[in-house]
Amino acid sequence: MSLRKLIRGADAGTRRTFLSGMAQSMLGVGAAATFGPGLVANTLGQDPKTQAGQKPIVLGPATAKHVIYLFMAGGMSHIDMFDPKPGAKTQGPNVPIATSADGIMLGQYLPKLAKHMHKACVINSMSSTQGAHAQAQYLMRTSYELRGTIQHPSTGAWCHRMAGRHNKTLPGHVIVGGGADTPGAGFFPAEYTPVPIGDPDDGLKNASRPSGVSEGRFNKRLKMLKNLDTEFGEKHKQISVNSYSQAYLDAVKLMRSADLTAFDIDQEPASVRAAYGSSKFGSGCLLARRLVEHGVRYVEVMRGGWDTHSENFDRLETLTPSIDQGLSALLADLEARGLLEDTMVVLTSEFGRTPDIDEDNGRNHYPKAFSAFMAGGGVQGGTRYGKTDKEGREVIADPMSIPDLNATIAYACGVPTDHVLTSPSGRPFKVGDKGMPVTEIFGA
Amino acid sequence: MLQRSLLLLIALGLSTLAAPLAGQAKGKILFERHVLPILERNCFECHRATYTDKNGRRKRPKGRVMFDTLANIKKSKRGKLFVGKKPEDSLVLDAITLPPDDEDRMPPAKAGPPLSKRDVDLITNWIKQGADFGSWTGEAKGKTAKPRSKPSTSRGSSTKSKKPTARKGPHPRVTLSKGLKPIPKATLESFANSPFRVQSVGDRNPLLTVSCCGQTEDVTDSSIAQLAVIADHIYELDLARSGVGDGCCMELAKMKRLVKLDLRQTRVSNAGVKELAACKELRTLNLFDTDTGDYALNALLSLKKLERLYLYKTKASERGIKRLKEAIPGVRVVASLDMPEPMAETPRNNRRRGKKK
Repeated sequence: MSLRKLIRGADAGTRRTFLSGMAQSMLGVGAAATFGPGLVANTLGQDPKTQAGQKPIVLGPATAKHVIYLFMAGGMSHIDMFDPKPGAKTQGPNVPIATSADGIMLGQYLPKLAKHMHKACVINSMSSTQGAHAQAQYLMRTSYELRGTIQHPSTGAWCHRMAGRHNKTLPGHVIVGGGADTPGAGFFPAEYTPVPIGDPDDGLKNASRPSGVSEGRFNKRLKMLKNLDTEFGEKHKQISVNSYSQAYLDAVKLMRSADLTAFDIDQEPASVRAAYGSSKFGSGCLLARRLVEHGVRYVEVMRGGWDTHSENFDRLETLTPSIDQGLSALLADLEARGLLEDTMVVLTSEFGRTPDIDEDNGRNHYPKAFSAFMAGGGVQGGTRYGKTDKEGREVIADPMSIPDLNATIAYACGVPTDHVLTSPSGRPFKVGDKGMPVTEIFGA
Repeated sequence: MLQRSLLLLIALGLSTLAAPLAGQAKGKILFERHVLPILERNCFECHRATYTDKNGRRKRPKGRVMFDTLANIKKSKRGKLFVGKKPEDSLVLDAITLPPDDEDRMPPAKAGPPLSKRDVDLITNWIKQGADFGSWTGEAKGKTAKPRSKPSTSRGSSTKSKKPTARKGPHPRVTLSKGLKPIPKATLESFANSPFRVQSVGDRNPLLTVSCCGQTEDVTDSSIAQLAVIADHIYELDLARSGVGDGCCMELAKMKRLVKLDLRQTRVSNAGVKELAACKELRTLNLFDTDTGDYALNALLSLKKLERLYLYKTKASERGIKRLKEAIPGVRVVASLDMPEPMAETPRNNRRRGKKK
């Protein structure tokens, strides 16, 4: 989105859409400006942001410093991937395989991941209340239902805001391979908007000074902008004004930071690139590892194409190798670097797919029962949580709702799940809504 | 019937009287006189112990929330309905302040209009004043229903393939913080402009977790001296990718409660690691991609509490690792990278695009 387009559209949209668009556009940065000091919000301080008049956020013990959230958009078949039903008629032609974890099987499409299952927990008892993509994806990311009057923050924005950033210069929350139509920071100030990386192979675009603008000239421009803005900033001491200048400040800081190389996966040796695979998903996983290593708290990697209404099994043949490769490499790489114990890797989808295979050899939307995958960040490996019936139709033990999943992620980051933050209109919201963290999946 | 409408009249009258009082938050708000009538008018139809209504139908309390007696309010299964001085923790206030279109708003749209702002303010101020129920118990009004014998907990037995291995004894976070005085707030705040991020390990525990917050190259051996004032409290220290080397290890050795130390990709070498033998509480040590080897491992043999050691991209030999594992039973050593074989061919990702939706 270009700045010009944003400004032109500013009358039509609300101030907020303008600002959030602004932050997104700026953090993938071109121009820049800065307000005076003192506005550098203490996202790194002892107490992460507390709203005026609200009780301070007391973080709990964190089992995870980072989250890598792998989102399989379109609805990933649970029976074909993480909840196989050997012998049942719903299984179809897919032959389940054994894994490195006793008693846990995977679909035949994940042979490489099978070797890492002793590090992971499979959750087979997810269920959603939404059966259409947009609504279900929104619910998955925010724990709240999509509605016209408000945009809720995503779990990543909650974790960023409540638990703070690890790295002063890098963004707290990045979304790879998508992001334009995700809830982002919702009603939170624009500085919590995830930075979108469209193509992981390109890294962060427009993050350097335009050619022909010297450092001196750049500084002069910044100073000029500061002069122009100071009076306005003093006159209108508002969250959105602060947030707007914070976006600029963050962008300039990032432009000048040595940590900018975190976004450049070309720095990795060819053998590592090859191990992650040449797919966009593989590159996304590699980028996620680099970002986490440099202190980014929450990275989401999106992979679409799971909406397999027809020829489900053929399509899985082409969809899954990059997932199997990328995720296996990610787990191995994080483990060798000692990062897996601090990084929660979550793979999930907005819903599952029908146990019954239709006449097109396809599976259709199925929110009633589906699966998620979690590893690292304190999660006890080689385990399974929840259960579906023999044909994968109904959750029959330890149900885990979508709010529960989000609350569990937040809990791992030390975020208090009962802490209420209010929207600008004064309505109370919690990370994970009414969900409860499922603490059983964490090891000692 | 007469009694009911009389009560209603009184209630209406009272809440009108009470309104200015609520607005100014002056004077004590009395539960029985001011708050109870609001609850009776708006909540009692659904939220009281099981009773028989005028049409002879038995009505059970909805959502297991009951306001009719003090005992029922206090033991609510849903959480704390009223928390003195903490409106933000009081569930009732949450429920009545949601916007009218929210399905969780109380009273529900089909049961009645939202509470007036005056009523909400009154309840809020009563909570702010401490949510004092006075002498009211509500017991005289009739029998209270017996609480259900067993609230069905949503989490049944876990169906894990493997049970988590319970840690032996309490968490080190608990044992190590015993008797430890917290660091004064001013000292902690002095780190705001340092290259370190200093935080409690959680739940206001006096133990601290410290990491470099980005400018890793700015953190050198000399900057570690800044941590001397909090050295006794450091539980977790993340110096990954920073500019530190062996010079800082003397300082690290003074951190008696250090449980987790991350030195990956630093200039720390054997000589520095040797100093760490003084950190007897150390459980996790990350030496990934450092110039360390068997000499360092020998120095670590005395760290009997060590649980995890990361040695990939170091010079540690198999023999050295074997000896360490024998000396420290149960230690997990990660010294290799178990990457998947590269894919045979490039995935045909976009070959087939089915219908959308």
